[in-house]
Amino acid sequence: MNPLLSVQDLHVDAPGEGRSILRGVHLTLDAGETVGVLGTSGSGKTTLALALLNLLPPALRARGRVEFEGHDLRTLNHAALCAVRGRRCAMVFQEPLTALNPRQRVGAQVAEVATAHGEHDAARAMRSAIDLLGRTGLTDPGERAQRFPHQLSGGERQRVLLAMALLLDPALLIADEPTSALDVTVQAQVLQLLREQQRARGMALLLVSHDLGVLATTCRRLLVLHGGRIVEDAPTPQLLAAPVHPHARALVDTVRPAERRA
Amino acid sequence: MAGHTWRRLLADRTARAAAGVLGAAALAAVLAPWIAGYDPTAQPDPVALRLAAPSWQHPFGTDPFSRDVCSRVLHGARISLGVAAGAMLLSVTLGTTLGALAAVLGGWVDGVVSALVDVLIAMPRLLVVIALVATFGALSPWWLVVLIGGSGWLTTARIVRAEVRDHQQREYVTAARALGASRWRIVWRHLLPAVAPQVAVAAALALAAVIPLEAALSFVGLGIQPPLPSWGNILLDGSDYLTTAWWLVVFPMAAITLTVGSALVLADRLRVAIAGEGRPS
Repeated sequence: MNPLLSVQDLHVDAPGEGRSILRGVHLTLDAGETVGVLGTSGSGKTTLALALLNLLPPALRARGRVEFEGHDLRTLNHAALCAVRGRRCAMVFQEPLTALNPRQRVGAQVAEVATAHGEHDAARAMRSAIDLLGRTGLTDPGERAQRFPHQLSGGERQRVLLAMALLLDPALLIADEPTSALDVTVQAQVLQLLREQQRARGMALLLVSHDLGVLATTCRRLLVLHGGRIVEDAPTPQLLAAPVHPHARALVDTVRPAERRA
Repeated sequence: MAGHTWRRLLADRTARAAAGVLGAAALAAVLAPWIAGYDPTAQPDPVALRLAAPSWQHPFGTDPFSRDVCSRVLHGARISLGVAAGAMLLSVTLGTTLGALAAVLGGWVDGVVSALVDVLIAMPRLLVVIALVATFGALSPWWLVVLIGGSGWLTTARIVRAEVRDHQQREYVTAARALGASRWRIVWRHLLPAVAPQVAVAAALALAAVIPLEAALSFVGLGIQPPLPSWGNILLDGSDYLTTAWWLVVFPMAAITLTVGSALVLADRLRVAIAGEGRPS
């Protein structure tokens, strides 16, 4: 079976600054698989997530293949790309306050995803949006849907963002540091929700984070991104037990210093 | 699409007063045929009523041809504000469209629009319009709208281009793209609503610029032609009698000052409301 997502030799350069951010990333992901990308800040995590969906800012240049469900997303035309984004492959961003439009009510923003993909019945789009907001654990979703982003808590906002991504039941969800902007207790709740939804829908999850703890509890397989390359690719237990690359070892050490020193 | 900027503006008493003055002026212009006491071109008694001072019969006095100045100012509002509103709408629509296209399409479109703005903005608007009128002769009010509006879109285009480019880089636009919103859907649903307050500022400033421009053109005899009254040509008629019949100049001048001032105040309060964006109201 072909993998759901296959990235081959992906390079991203910033010509203006004369530096490379990604230097030949290879990765594959099967349907329903949960994969974590571990990297420190500046390792190119967010660039990788954006590059997968062709969302890089114009100042960055990408090379390589990003094959998703048999299409090379890098060469797909605008209309075909728009049809894949949101419907087959969706994305959740790190900072829910800036990822939501401050001028629109959150219910309308969730419903908008359906409208953008050809749902003409606005009332039906809103009903499914409110229904999904309720299933992502928002209390009183009908009332919350009428609020603006700044009138919600950080956790509520991230649930809204997740609802937007899940509305059309994508085959792959890319989540870029989805919990880093949240309080620790809320972080655990949102992560739990993410795991539940992944399992219930059988969708593949590509979780990008600097936090090994977050990744280890959610993903079956971990990739370590360092200096723009994937330096380690192993099942989670194996990576935690015996990291090979020195950078991976250093990262694992920070989580279990006492155990490893013993 | 409830913007907080608009709500803050509505709560601002000064802004409401300025909008009220503009609204009243617009209403007076629309209703002029019904509320003006006299035909603005009628000359009932050029001998006995020549340059009559303000009175109950003629609250703004009469002019050298015995015409009622109050009726002329009211009917002048129709022409002056009509031309101003038309020119403002034209310039803001042109500027918003071209500015947004330049920002969204980039490439050669952006290059052409930006170069055009840079070149045209260096030209003195009044002189260009005077040169055109001098070449093609006296113009109908419609042509005046086209000429003034067609030369006024530059600043709006510049503002809209910069604002749209700024908002395109925001994460919520990237997030919308990530979920499959097409380029034009993003323009329509996210970018234009985001720049609307700035466009409103540009519109208020355009109105404040266009009213005196029409008045100036009419004052030098190149704008609205008599006997059609406009604020500019009423002033022209009165300029010879400044020392003997002050009412010929003071009332049309007050009309211009009041409307232009209100537009400027409104633009200023809008800016304040925009600056408060993001803070809870």
